[in-house]
Amino acid sequence: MDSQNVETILDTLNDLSTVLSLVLRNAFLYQNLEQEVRKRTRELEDKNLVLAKTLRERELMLKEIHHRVKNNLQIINSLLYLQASTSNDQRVQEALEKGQNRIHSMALVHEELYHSEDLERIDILGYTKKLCQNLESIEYGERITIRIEGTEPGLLLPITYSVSIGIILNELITNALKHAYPQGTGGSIIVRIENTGQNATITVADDGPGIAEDLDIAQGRTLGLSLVHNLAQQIHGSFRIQNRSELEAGRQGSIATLAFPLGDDA
Amino acid sequence: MHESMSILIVEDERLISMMLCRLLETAGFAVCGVAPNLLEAYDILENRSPDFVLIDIHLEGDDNGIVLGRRLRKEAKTPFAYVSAYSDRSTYDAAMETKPVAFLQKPISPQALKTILNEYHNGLHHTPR
Repeated sequence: MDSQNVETILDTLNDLSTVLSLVLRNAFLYQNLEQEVRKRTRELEDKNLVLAKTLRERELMLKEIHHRVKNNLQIINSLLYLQASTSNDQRVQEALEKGQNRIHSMALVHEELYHSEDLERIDILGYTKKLCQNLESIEYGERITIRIEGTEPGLLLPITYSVSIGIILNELITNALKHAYPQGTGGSIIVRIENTGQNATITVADDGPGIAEDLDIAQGRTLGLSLVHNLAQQIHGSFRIQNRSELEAGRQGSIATLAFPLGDDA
Repeated sequence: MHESMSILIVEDERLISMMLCRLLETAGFAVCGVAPNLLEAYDILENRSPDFVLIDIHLEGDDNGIVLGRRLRKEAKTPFAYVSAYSDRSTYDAAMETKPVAFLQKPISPQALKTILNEYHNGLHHTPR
């Protein structure tokens, strides 16, 4: 072996040693990195477990709250029913029954929230169907029918809106059931729920004789309509009730219209 | 009209059982007893043989009304309906397995309850709700 060959071999060995040291260093770094990744993964998994547990606990707590609110409202309703049953005065009984229906409309919001996926919003169309099952069965089932229509997408509202909307719907539908068809006449009531993205409109229309021209409904002389006016203002909406002939010539009946903006939380 | 139909109310919330008693009696049914727990319910079932039982699910002392429903279904003598504020899927499914006449959710609609009992009393088929 001549000296040039020896030098070449030494250079090669030197290069190999450099490469080997780099490989070893990289292996060491890789091992450290792998350990660090494993550690971080474990930490993230632990955090996820804590978050999932917290989320489950929050859901259970919210469900329990909705359940308890619903139960307390049932107790209030029982008290009103018992009070009504002690009176022979029909006006007292009717007034207490109205109170029960209003409380029922609020309790139903909590019932729907309890069943909702995120426990925060309810589908107003589904809510209205359940509300009407209670109202319709009171005494009008055979002579008055209620049709409920909704546009797509549905109207999902948080509790801040839902309670107001629930009470408004209760008042408008009860009002139509009690007053649109006098002296045992019958007909159909149409409840329509529209979501246009920025706004929502709810109408309750009947095909009865309509409202008398001298009836100053806009002033909300009855408690029911006063509630509707005030709750409409609370959700920054507008409310009006008019004869359907004003919107469409020859059309019989009256129509109540609630329009309100869908804020960021709606 | 309903004088022959006696009803046992199994409910631990006294104000609600008071309301149910008054509601049923006004509608012409006879309430043969009110039990806040299973033990008292079994006692009334044995001694007064009700024609129908209304059962709340969460009862006094952690008693569960579905246990009573299962027993009534097994004996196949006394029809019953649940009245409960708890309406989550698992509770509902467990209750429906006992084949009640109805599952009513609280807050109770007085008219809905009367309709179910009248339909049952008149022998009409009623789909559990």
